[in-house]
Amino acid sequence: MGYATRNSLDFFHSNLIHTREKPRIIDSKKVALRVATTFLGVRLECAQCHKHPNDRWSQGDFFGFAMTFAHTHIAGVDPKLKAAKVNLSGVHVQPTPVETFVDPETQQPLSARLLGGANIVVKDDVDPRKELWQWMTSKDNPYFARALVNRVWAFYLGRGLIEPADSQAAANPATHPDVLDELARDFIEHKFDLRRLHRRILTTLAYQRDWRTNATNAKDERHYSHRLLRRLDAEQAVDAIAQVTGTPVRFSKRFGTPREGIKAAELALSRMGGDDAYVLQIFGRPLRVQNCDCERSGAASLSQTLYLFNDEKLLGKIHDPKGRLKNLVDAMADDRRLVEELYLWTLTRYPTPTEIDRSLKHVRLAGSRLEGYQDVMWSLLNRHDFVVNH
Amino acid sequence: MLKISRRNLLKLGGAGLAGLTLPTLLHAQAQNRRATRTKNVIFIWQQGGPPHQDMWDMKPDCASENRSEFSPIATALPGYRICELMPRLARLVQRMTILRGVNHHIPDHNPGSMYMLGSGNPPNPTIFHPTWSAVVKRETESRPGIPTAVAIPSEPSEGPNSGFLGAAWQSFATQADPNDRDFRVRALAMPRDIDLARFERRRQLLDDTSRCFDELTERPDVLRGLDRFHQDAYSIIQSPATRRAFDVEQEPTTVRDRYGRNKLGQRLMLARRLVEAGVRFVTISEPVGWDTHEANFRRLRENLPVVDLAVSTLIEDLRDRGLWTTR
Repeated sequence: MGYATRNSLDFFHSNLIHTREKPRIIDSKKVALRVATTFLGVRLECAQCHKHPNDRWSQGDFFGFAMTFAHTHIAGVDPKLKAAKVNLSGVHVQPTPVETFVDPETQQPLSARLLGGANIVVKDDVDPRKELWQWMTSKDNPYFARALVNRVWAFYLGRGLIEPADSQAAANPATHPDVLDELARDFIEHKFDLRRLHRRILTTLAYQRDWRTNATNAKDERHYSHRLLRRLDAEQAVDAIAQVTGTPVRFSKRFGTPREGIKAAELALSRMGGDDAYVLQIFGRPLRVQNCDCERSGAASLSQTLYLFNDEKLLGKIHDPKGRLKNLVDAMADDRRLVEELYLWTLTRYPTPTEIDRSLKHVRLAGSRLEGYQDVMWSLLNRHDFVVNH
Repeated sequence: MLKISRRNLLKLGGAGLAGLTLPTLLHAQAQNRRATRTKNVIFIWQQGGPPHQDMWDMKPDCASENRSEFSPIATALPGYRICELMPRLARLVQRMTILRGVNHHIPDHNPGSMYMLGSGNPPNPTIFHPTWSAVVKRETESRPGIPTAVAIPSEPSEGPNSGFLGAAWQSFATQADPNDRDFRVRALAMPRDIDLARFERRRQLLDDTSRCFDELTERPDVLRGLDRFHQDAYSIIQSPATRRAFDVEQEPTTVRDRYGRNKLGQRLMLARRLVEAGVRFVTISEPVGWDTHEANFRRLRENLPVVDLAVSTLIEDLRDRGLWTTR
């Protein structure tokens, strides 16, 4: 597939409609849906065709919001440039929209409109997208700060205060509105300081709870009475395996050579080749073709288990003669300390005396000391407490 | 609105899939194995919904502005006519049960898909009903070494997957596409340098030490899934028959060609191999989108011949092997 025909967010600007009748434009409706979900945590899909069944949005709200993006021309010459005799084609904003939507109830053409708010008067030097951004980041905006706060909360706690995390709606209230309000207020007050937001969430008692349950909270999944167990995210799994085995992540050069030592979590591209791209796929990394946080899957699957059990490439990482295990086995003569080291490096805790004895017994009976430790590392990677964040 | 009512399931295998009869059937089968013949399902999900007025139910007498561009042709059943682009299927209609009343009134893609995939239950904001494949996997006895349900290449992402049943009841996804030259389902075989004895020792070490979450009284879904997949993985790895079933290179070239060398054809060919090997439910996510609001007839001219060849070949191939039953 050519660059221009790939349909994913990283190739977003090439996602054009071009037919003989229409000028080349970005589909304003799609942009509206994506901006609403990503930055406002509001799902407008339903309001495209009818009044939203469990929220306040009418079709007029949706199409007015879509008009905010309809003034962006991605081809042709900006009239201001043309007046200055600079005949350079490119992205520019014009008071005349590229496409116009009418209110389905009144059949009147709609002007650009903030979501649930005032119309934007588009003139020369007024870019409606900028107006939108100023509205989003204004002190009283009901969506933007709450959407971001809720998403960061969901990332760390495994469940949004509003759940699903990208679905703020009249019929989907927060479980703990006071917490959400306070975090959002503080986030706005500190000029959307993400570092501060992360720190505030990470230092809550709710985040720091133990995964162990007692008789009163074993069934709880929504009140943060204990930590929810979650499988590592795709990127975390790939990076953790690379770190444990001391082998680099492997992605192909299809879209440029990734920097040496790069982590999967740092890679922005959604389409990658190479062996670890397969691992990202089976662990549910989104392809970024859907406009939904739900595109990322955290479910366990047989493909994941087979990979960790038995995949040649995974075993190759454990057995790599330049990998961490071989180095450790060569460098450390003290078996007890070596087992401790492997546990610390893989599960970030010391082994129990039983675990040490069981591992040492295994190594004694193995074909060779190296083989024995390869098996120990294999068993560590295949344990539930490795792949499940707890 | 129009689009959703066109949503249709192409149903193969006659397992009583439409309606709520499946668990009843499986239950009856479990109670009285000798009375009920074992049945398997190959389920083809055509995302977007193929337009039945251009395929199975041409309505040739309706007004010309609403009528299909295509002409109906005679089939093996006197009086029943289907689209001219499906001549091979036309010769096989007497072997099918064609349901023309499958319908819903949900005016949105995602809930519509949830409904059609969610084992006949309307979508509901508080509960995800499982797919057919998950219900079958849950309700049938599993056979060692053979996955009960397989999805090629994966379960439709717009569906509920195993829903409230939990991750353990998901289909096994091949991940890769059997039409690719280097198709291979990874990690099915024991690696060369690990013999069975060593594998067993490893497994014992893992079982003896992996006790971290034992103290939980409520095992959450992620752990129940992992428990199940560990068991499945052990038995699949030790089954050469399962490995052979996924090895499409073992299929004669002439047979592969008959299905059509395209994604749908090769997926159906693999589905047949899997059913032969004992897989009970195969889900095919069809590679071609059927959301044909735009350029409907042009796209059908491309899509229908592929479907006609692949599905008719599947029916004939299953029949030749004694796997096709209509009652």
